[in-house]
Amino acid sequence: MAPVIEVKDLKKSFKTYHRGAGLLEAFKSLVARKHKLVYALKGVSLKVEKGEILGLIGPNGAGKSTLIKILCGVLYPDSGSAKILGFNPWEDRIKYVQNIGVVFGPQKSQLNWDLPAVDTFFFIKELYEVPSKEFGKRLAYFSKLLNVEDLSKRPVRNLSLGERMKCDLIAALLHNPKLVFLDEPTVGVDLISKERIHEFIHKVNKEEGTTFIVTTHDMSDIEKLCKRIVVINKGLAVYDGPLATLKSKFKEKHLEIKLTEKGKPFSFKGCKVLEQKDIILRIEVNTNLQNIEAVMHHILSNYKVLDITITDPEIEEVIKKIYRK
Amino acid sequence: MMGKLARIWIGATRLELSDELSYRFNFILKTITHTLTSAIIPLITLLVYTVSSGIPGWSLEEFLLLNGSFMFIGGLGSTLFQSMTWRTIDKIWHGRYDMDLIRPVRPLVLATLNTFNPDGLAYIFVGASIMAVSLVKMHWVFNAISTLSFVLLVGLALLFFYSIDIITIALSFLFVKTFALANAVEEIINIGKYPLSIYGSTGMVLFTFLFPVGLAGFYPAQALLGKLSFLMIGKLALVAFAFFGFSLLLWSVWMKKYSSAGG
Amino acid sequence: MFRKTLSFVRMGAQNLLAYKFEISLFTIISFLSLSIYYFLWHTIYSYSNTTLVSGFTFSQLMGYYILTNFAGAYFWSDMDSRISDRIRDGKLIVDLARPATLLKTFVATEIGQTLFVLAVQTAPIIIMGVLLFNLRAGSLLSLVLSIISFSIAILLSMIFVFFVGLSSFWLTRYHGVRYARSALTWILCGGVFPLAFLPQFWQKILIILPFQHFVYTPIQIFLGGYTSITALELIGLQIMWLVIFYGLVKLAWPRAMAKFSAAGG
Repeated sequence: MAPVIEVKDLKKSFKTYHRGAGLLEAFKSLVARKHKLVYALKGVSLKVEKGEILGLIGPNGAGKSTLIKILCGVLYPDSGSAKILGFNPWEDRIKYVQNIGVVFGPQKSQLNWDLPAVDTFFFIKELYEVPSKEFGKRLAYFSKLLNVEDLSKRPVRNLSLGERMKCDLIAALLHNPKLVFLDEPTVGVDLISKERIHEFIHKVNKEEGTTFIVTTHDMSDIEKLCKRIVVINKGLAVYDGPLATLKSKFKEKHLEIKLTEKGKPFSFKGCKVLEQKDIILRIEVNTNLQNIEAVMHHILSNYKVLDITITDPEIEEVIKKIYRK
Repeated sequence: MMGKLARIWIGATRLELSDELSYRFNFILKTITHTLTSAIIPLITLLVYTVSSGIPGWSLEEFLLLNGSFMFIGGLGSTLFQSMTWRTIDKIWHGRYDMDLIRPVRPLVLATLNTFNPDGLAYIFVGASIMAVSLVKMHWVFNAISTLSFVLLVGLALLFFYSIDIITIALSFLFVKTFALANAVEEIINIGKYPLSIYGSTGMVLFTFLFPVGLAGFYPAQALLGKLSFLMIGKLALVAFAFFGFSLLLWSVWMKKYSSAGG
Repeated sequence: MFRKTLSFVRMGAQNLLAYKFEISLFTIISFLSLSIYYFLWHTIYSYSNTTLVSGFTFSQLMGYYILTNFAGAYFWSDMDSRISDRIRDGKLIVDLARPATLLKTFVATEIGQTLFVLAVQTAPIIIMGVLLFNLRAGSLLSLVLSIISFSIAILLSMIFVFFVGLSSFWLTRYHGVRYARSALTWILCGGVFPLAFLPQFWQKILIILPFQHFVYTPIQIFLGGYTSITALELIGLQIMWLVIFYGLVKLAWPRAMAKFSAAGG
């Protein structure tokens, strides 16, 4: 089966204007503005299969949202090709978007602020020509899954961020899209709602075979949702693969040792001391340079050990390392 | 296709009406204000005709008829589609315009369908009343040809307004924060509020053939007074359609520019 | 104290400066509306074969319109909408956390914008008035008095706008009030035509209301439409309204705050 998304070598640059601080600079900009070219994407290729939940991560300004906008057909790239669900998103935009759902984060909600969310749902029904029967069924089912049956009848402005996000999710899924883009779906959402949203995405993904592309800064989104991630940094896809491989790619292991009494300062080849305080010793071992057994041996023969734990580094730290490259 | 568009329009209109009506105080106050401010226009005309001899070639009643048609047509425009300018500009400004681009309908069509605004109803009502009063006062006798030409010119005027709105939005694709543009458009349309003769012969040609703002009030009133030849109506129709074509061209060019520039 | 206020003033001016296109557009709009008035009244004056309409020569009337343009720069403030917007999106709390009262923060920012608008947007129009329509003060005294009167008018209309804007603490949707406030009062202010065109009866009614002191009074003082005694009396009335609206703000403020904290921010 053909992949849902296949894009090759997407490039995109922007002109940006800038002015200095202060009133004088403001007056200067009245006359002439300086601009420079910024390369947001420098050649990104990507392939996504049906039914995947792909995590798209990267620091702010890395080109994530530019990529999402191009994939949604909102932006034209400078160069590169794309075939998504059999369409070229920016050339067959109207036909293409009938098949996708988008949530552009909490600032770009599609819900009417002063009206109950249900009213917007009915408008979306007309817009995407959803048959009444299917509309009623899907709305009832989603509302139940996300526990928003009563909420969608209150004006949106009276809802919490999490409740609004849930309604936005429903709005993006009513027309049964095959592909859904979620841009920061859990920003500012409380833990319980977040869990519900995760479950919801999993369920829709499993039952309808919907493909999801999720951008996020929240590592729990990634751990809970995505088997595969793509890391974007400085306009390039710097990593593409399973989350587990990303973790194992980094050969560092963390050792946390509890001692029975205070020992001498620690030093050993291939090891970095993260912390040494009283009876606590935390070290990072680079397994390319030193094997764990040798380190353990060294510790056990030089210190009086109460407890040792070996852990993989946190994903946050792994990702920070990728960004720094 | 038409059925779908009609359903979207009804959906959007229902959304807009329930939105407006959920703030009753706001809605009532706005309606009163619109009625009062529109009643000011004939009042000023009366004042002008009291303190001076008015405008050559236009009796008080005829001038009132001009006021009335200007308001009636303006009211139709703003009720039916004119709020698409500031609504779209607002979306562009807040970066929410992307949401319009992920819809399975052309953005211009979507903007046009999503634009009902009850604010204009007061102008339609007051404008029509002023027209009625002035026609009665000047002992106007019903005349099928002039009435029909009037209806035709109202249609052309609306097409002209629509074209201007398209250009306004297209301009805001380039300059992002341009609520001022919507104000400018309002001011430009005011040119057609008065007899074009006050702008001299150059102005007359300019506002008829190059930028047909005379359609905003002057020409429809002329038609109703039976002062407009078929030839002139034909010319005006040609100009209005040409202007419409021009606006669509600008839209498509600048829309493409927006899609390739937005952050 | 003054420096702090001044920093808000500067901030207001900088905000506006970011939009060069918009600024030039406003100047163009003013030119356009003045041109329409020019053609309209030019036709009326020549057709009526008179030099005076309700005591105004053609040049004086154009001068009057130019000055309403100047007054529009402070009268068409959107401060009240900004208050309502900030209540709506919950950002008012940021303003309340500033070490100055909300009245001062908003009015000072607004004055910054206004001074900027007066300098950049309306200067070309004033110059045009001076060159083409011989726009000048009635006398040196009326110039001095009008500067005083304009300064009070600026402060007065801002406090008025702020006072009306406070109603947005109670209203979830403010547009209606804002529209009534600006469009209706602009007519009563003399923004659309000189109030002298009105029959005596209406003029007497308007003089009891505060509105003409926002726009009409300072303009007429400048043009020398009043004797200096009358001018001084009118400035006295302006000060009276300033005190009244300031008092109203002080009275309404605690109630607005109570409403705000009751709603939980």
